[in-house]
Amino acid sequence: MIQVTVMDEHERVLDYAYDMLATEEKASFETHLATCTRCQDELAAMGHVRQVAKAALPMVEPTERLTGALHAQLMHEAGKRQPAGKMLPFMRRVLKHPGYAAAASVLIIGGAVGVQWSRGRLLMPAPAKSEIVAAAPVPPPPPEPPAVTPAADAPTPVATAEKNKVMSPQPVLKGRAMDGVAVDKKMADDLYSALAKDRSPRYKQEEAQPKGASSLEPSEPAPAPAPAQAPAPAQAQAHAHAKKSSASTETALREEYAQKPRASAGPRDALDDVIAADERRNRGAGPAQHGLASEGQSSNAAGGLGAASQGVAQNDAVTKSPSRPTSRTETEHRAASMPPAAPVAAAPVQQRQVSAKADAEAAYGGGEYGLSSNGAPGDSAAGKTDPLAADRRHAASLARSGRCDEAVALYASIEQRGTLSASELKSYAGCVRTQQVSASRKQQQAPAKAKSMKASPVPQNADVDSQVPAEKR
Amino acid sequence: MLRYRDGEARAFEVLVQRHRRPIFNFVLRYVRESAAAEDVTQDCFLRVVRSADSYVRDAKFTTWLYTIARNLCVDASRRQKHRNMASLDAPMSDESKGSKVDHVASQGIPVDRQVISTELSVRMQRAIEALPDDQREIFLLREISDLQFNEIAEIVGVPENTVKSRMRYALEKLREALRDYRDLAEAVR
Repeated sequence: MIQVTVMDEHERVLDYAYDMLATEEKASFETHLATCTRCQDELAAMGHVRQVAKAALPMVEPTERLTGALHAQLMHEAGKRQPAGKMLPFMRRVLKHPGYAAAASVLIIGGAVGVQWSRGRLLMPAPAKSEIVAAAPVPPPPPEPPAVTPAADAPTPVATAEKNKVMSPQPVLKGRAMDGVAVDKKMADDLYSALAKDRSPRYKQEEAQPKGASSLEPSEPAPAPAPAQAPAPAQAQAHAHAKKSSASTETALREEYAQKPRASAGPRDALDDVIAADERRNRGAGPAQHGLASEGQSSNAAGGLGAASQGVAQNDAVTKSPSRPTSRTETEHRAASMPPAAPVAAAPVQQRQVSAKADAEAAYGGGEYGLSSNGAPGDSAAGKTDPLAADRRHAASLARSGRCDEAVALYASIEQRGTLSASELKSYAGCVRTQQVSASRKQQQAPAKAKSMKASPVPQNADVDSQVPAEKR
Repeated sequence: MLRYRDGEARAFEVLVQRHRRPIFNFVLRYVRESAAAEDVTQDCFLRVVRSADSYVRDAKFTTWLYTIARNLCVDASRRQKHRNMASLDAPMSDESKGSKVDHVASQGIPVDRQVISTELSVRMQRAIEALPDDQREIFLLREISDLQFNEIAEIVGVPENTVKSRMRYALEKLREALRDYRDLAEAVR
């Protein structure tokens, strides 16, 4: 024990030499030092070394270079420094302190959760499936629709109308929106009226009746589907629709059109209608509505293949019953498929083919279709690849040139294959009105002929074919 | 330093004027070359300028400054180990006679005592240079820079008892080096 105490006192020599002991410790060591020769010698040696070291290592003044150029450079560097804002030391202090860091992390996480909560994006645990099944009431099964056989199904007007709404394709003329422009309902109504007035002599009688009554009357059932073995091209369908459709058909069209808020609906609804109509057309579903021959019922076996198959069906129809060519494709097909045994009919067809080609060239800007005058593919390249677009341009050129009959037929064809824009509908309506005027003039000039035509319905194609050369002449 | 950190540029000049001389002497004894000592001293204060934003008053500025200086000295010493160092005993140029020690300024001491003092100084310098680096830096920081052992421990990064132990070893070695000149030293005293 005494040995340990002496060792502690010996180790205090250094602290005593550098005056690092407290007052009590210093007094205690001095007591020890008075009796300990070893500590005395060590203390003396330390003092001697320190004295010699002080003498051997005198303080040296900084050099001229250090106080001159280097000092100036140092001051320049110090002056360039921009003091940091208060935020950096604060952030450093926050990051250094664990409590501050924890509080900051909690604040950040809480803020993020709060923001997500306010936006409604916070994922909440979904309830178990069993809870959902137990909580959700089981809906009753939908009642089975009564099975109706065609024989027992008398064509009641209501059933027919509903069936037409559900199953059959939409009417040919629709208030659609093209390129974001909603078609005016009034304009579409005018077009319907013009079509009906032009094609149906009973329009005035039906106009006097209350709306919708004619289509629901038992005596005036909805027209039966057109026979599949007599398909007509698009323009022929349009003429047949105008000629054969009764007032009830026209009224049913108006009713359906009035029930469908297409004119007020946005482009999305119109687009949905287009898509639905295309799907129905592709499926070839349902018979033709309102006296129109369905394209799915044409002689073409692939009638449900869309526009391409429609073209084939139309071409077949043209071959079987030569009608007035309304488009370039039909004209060409007709010219190609025209039997040589009918030279009389082939001549006007060829003449019309040439005129249609000339019209198309005029519409496409000269040269061959899709080619500009210099032979380079121009703007009409799309029209060359898309027959519908080509027909649109052709119809517009026909309407501009006053050839309303052809334009109306071509518009009807386009309407069956696609949609009509607002400008096209306007042009369509104008052509129909022109036809009305010309028809009224003809009726005034030849009332007997008109009566005979009314008494015995003649196919529209034949009528048109018989009229157009006369008009041309 | 806090004033300089907050944007007062003139405060840095005060710092330089106050600490440049002891820093330069410490560096000079550490690296043993005047030019290298100038560069290290300059670098030391430049580090202060660049690190002013991160300065936190957790310790004395002196401790922080000597920490920077000591680290720079360590780096410089490592670089110098690959060079030929000019000893104080190395002959001067051909025009002058004697050694560098002969050019140490006299303090008006009598010649006999001046000779003894010179001899002791040479011995002491050689003994200090012969010390291990860890003991030498502690001896210099304690004797040249007059820092406390706790501050030295903070600068060097070792416990205070380790610093005292190293200091004790250094003093013991220096005393052994000066044993032959004990009487002379007592005479000088």
